[in-house]
Amino acid sequence: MHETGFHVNRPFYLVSRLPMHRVAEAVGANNMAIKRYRKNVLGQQFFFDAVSKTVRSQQWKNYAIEIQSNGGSANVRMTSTINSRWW
Amino acid sequence: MVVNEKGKVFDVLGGIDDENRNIQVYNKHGKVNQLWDIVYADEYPAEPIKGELNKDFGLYVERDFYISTAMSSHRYVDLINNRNMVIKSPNGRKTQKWYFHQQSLTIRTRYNNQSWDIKSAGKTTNMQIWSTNSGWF
Repeated sequence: MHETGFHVNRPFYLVSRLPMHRVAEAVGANNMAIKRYRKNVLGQQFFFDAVSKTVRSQQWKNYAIEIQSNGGSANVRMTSTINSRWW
Repeated sequence: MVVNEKGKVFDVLGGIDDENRNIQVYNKHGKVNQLWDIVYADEYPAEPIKGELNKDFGLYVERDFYISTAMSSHRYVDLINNRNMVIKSPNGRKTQKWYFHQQSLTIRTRYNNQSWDIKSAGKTTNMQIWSTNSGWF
C-alpha cells in the first residue's frame, strides 16, 4: 500500500537500530517495549490491516497500535479497537 | 522512522537499549533511538549458528578465544575468585577462555558460562562475570 508503506496482512518485525537490534513486542496485549528477537514469537510480529488502516498484533489480531489516552499521552500500546487513531 | 499523521514518531524511551525498555511517541529528532527497520517475517535473516560469524558483533558463535592485552606483558583476561576480571599470565585454565553466546548476545566464560557484566548493574567501573541478563550492552 503506497500511502502507508506497508504490505497488507504481511507479518513484519519492527527492528530498532539501537546496537542490540531489539524488536518491538506487544507485552501481554497491552504495552509495547523492545525485546530480544525470538524466533516465531507472534507477540513480536505485526501486520498492516488495510480495512481499519491500523497496525495489529499477529498474536492478538484484534489489537491495534495506538497512542494512549486518545493521543494525549506519550505512551504507545496495543488496544482492542478498530478506531485506533495512530495512523 | 515510524511516523503518525501528527508527526510523532516511535521512540525508545531515553535512548536506552535495555531489554523491555518502553516504546513511546516523541517529536522527531532523528537520533538512533527513533530509527527502525521494518523486516517482514518471511525475510528475517537466520541467526548465525555455532561456528558462524555474527557480523553485527564481529565474533564467531561459541568459538573459544583469549583476550590479550596490548601492553608489553601480553597477559590474558582472567578471573580472580572466579568473579572479578583481571589480567594474568596464560595458564590454560577455563577462566581465560571466552566465547560469544548468540542467544544472549553476550560474551561468556568457559568457566561457568556466566557473562561479562559491569558490577552493580552498570553503576561502577569494575568488570566481573555474572548471570546472563542482557544488561551488559
